[in-house]
Amino acid sequence: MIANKTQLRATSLSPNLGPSKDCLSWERACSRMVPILRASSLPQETLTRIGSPIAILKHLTFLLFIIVLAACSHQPTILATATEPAQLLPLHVVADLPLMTAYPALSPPELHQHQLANGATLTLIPSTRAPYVQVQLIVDAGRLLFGANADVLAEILRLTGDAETPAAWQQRWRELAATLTVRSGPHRLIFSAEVLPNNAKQLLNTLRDMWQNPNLDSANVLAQAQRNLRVQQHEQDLLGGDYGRLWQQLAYGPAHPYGSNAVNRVALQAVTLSSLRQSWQQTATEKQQWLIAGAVPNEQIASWRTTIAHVPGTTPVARWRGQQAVVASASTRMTIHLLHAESAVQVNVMLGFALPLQDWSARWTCAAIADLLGMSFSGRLFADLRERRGLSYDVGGHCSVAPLASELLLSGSTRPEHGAAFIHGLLAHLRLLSVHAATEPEMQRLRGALRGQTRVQLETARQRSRQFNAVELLGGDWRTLVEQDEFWQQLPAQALPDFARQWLQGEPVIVVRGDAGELEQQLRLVFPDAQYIRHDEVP
Amino acid sequence: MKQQHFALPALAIAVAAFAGTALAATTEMKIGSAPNDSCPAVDYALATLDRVDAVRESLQLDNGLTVILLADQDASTVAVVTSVPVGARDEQDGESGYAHLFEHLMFKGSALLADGAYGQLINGVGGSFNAETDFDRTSYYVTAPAESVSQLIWLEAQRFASPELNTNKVHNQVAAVLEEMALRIDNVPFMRSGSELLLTQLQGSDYDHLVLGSATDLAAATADKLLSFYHRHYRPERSVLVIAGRFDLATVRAQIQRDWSLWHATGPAAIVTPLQQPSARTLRAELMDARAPWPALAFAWQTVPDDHPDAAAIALIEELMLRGDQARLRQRLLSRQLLLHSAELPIHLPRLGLAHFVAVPRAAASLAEIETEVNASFRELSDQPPDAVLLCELKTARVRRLIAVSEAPLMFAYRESVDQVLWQQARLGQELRALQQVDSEHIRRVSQLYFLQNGMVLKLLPPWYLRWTKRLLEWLPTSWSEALEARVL
Repeated sequence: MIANKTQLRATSLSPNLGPSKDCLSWERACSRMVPILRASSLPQETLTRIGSPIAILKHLTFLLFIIVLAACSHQPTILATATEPAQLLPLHVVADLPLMTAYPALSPPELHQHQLANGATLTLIPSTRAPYVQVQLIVDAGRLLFGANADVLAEILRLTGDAETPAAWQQRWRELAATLTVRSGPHRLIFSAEVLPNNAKQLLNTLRDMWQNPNLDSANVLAQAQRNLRVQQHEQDLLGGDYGRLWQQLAYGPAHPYGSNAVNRVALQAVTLSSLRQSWQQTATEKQQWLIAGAVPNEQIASWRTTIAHVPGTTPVARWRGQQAVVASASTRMTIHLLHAESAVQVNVMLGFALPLQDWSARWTCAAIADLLGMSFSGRLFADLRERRGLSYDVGGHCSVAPLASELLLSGSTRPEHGAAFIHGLLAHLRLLSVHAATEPEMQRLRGALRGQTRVQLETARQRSRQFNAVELLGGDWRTLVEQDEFWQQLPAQALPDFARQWLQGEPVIVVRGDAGELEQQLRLVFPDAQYIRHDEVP
Repeated sequence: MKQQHFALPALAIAVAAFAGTALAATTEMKIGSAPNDSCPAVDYALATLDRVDAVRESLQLDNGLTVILLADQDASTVAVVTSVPVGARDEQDGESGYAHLFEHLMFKGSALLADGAYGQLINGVGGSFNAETDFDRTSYYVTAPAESVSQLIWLEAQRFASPELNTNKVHNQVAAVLEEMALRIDNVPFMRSGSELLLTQLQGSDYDHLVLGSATDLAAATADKLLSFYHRHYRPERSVLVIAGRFDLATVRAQIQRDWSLWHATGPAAIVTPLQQPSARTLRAELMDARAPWPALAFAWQTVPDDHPDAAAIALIEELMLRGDQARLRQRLLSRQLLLHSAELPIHLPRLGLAHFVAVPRAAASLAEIETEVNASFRELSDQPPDAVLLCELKTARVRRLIAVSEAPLMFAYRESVDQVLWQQARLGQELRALQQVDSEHIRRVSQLYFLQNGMVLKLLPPWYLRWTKRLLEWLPTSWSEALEARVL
């Protein structure tokens, strides 16, 4: 906890700080001397007693001498919070807390799947409690297969669909009283909208027509789509998304398709109407799913099947399934990448690993580690770095799992003077995890958290379709969620340090966004043997 | 805690969403062929709302606490939402930020809960929680699997009845709030300057300072002052507890009586001052931020509180003109090649009313052109308000969002809790009926009254060299500007 800044400066310097070896140049000494001047300025009554000009000159000379001496003998004031070993805060036991009934075995929501003759799949997740119908068209044709064409195609469809003009397209959505959302990623394009139940058939027809016969003839719309995507990226960068991109480029490496997960600006500009049409003709045959969740009226299912079956034939299995990809090897030397941001009032930190996890157990263990360390409000990092030490407002961690790799990432933002201590704290907790198994009470809490979250995230039709999409992307289904629940129920404490020793032994990829010059000075005091690489922008 | 400093619910889906439940298959409805006086979507929503109202149960404890129970045996979760009618507008001089700071401190332990215990216990059952302070109220919400309902009720009751503060906790959370201020305000271009400018326009009203408060007042906060704040404002007779989801009514009723009756008001209550409504005024201003990469134009119109007779018509105008990709302003500016990007501000003032729109111009477009088109767009709306068919489409879109949360106990409890604490009643049914009544003439009158007069226009400007670059781009032939724009992007 930081009481106030004055105390911080006076007492919380890193133990690694010591007297400077070289006296600074006059200019630099001057800038460093400001706190010293304030501390040593003569009191007013002394000044009023000074008499003749010669006496004044003598006093000033003496003062100057003291000042220079002070500048040469004192450590330049690099503001840096002290580092500390990782601490685990006690688990609280509350005697009067009512008992909770045990979770029953996880019972996945109702789901019906229809494999259609044209290769498409229709998945229904009905919910009698939902007053809406959500319809999604999911095509396994993302950036991996089609590069920037996938992103531009998705954006054009959002803007104009199969209508003559964007205005006409928006009019259709106005009539549906709905909004089309589009997501494009490495593996998939997802088109999604929600309507009141009586408009479900019309929505399905609209999406089908859009996909069968998109308007890819307008140069204006192409230009607008490219502009929108670039603006989105700038917007994300403005809000700090740039350091996330840099982290991915470094962690996955240039050879891995996730190494540049965001839309590449150069590739974006290279997309033409011709390349789009070519891509679309190919994407139209990629694996296609229709996912309908919510108030699914039984009497309409047969007609929906007919609607979808009219779509031309699609591949039953995604072409990227079964691909392997190699992530960048972990460095043997600690390297800190500094993304320069002039005048940033906060320092943003991302620290973690890209992991080629292929089996479910490893993925589930990764998720458990991320929660142990980074769960909001009760993870180890929150308890130690935020609540006990006041180093951060938003520290956390997550394990993101994808078909070709996963990432275990710890992140947060902090004040500039806390930068080194914050990174030191994150690393200390990672090391602690690989050395000591958690206690059984902590593991009980962790198991309860993981299993409970699964149940909470299956409450609504939207959540169910999101969960289904996520597990299906990895090649699983509802049964996978049940197995995950059983795995976590039995998760032994030793599994976490075992995972850490297997996967987290190399140096993590560390990206820090802030004033690079100031940060490097501070970080070198705590990590003198690390390599520092400055980045002024992210490609 | 992590939260929005304005009253935008942290539950992203539910900005204006409300509840009915799914009886979709049983209600016939055709869109686009509505009779002039009835939109089928609204009728559908009202019909589904009846089901919810049938299970609603209200009670009041001896300490005055209002309790609403919304049982749903088909749900798998339970949600507990507690709202207290205290926000930034209730803060006295020297207390700015106290409502929000105290909200943070509510998670720092109580008589039977050590600091940190609450988070551990809720997370330990897979639950999630947060809180939110705005100008008028503070709401605390938690959701977890239904099996943990007894724990949630007990934990919530504990911290409301007997929060424990000390100097260390206060200093710790002041530091956290300052970090939040840096993250959400000072690190975002225009956020501080824009918010403060807008709030100065509300001087003389109760909405004249940021919810996060001032660093000076926060630094001077002490445990005693905050406890005094708690006793004045956190009173059961003014607060609302809502529980929604799967639970046994009899068991929960008994537990609430036992656990929540321990919360007693102490000392004199804060005087509830009538809301001072600022008069609407015209404002034109410029703000510069060295971090801004491009100019933008922000429009704001002071409208009406959510319970005002014109609120439904204004909601439909926002639906038509300001919201999402279909927004008329957006489509108009795009069709004239003026718009690079548009956005909405994270501001919701339910007891005041504020509509807003932010436009980022293309390279060749000037801010003046955008302003001209926006004004023309509202004049056209006033001259040619939407007909019954378009009105029904707008109502359908709004209704769909309003009733979507009926399947989510947390969303539903949140809406109910906020309605009760602000308006002392459930308002979803009223809101739907008010929508049904809106016709073209109403839209015409409302657009003239609120959108053609007394608007606020803020120019959000980058540093001088970027402003001059932009001027040059506006002066160049359009094709040159567009080519340069593409390169810059």
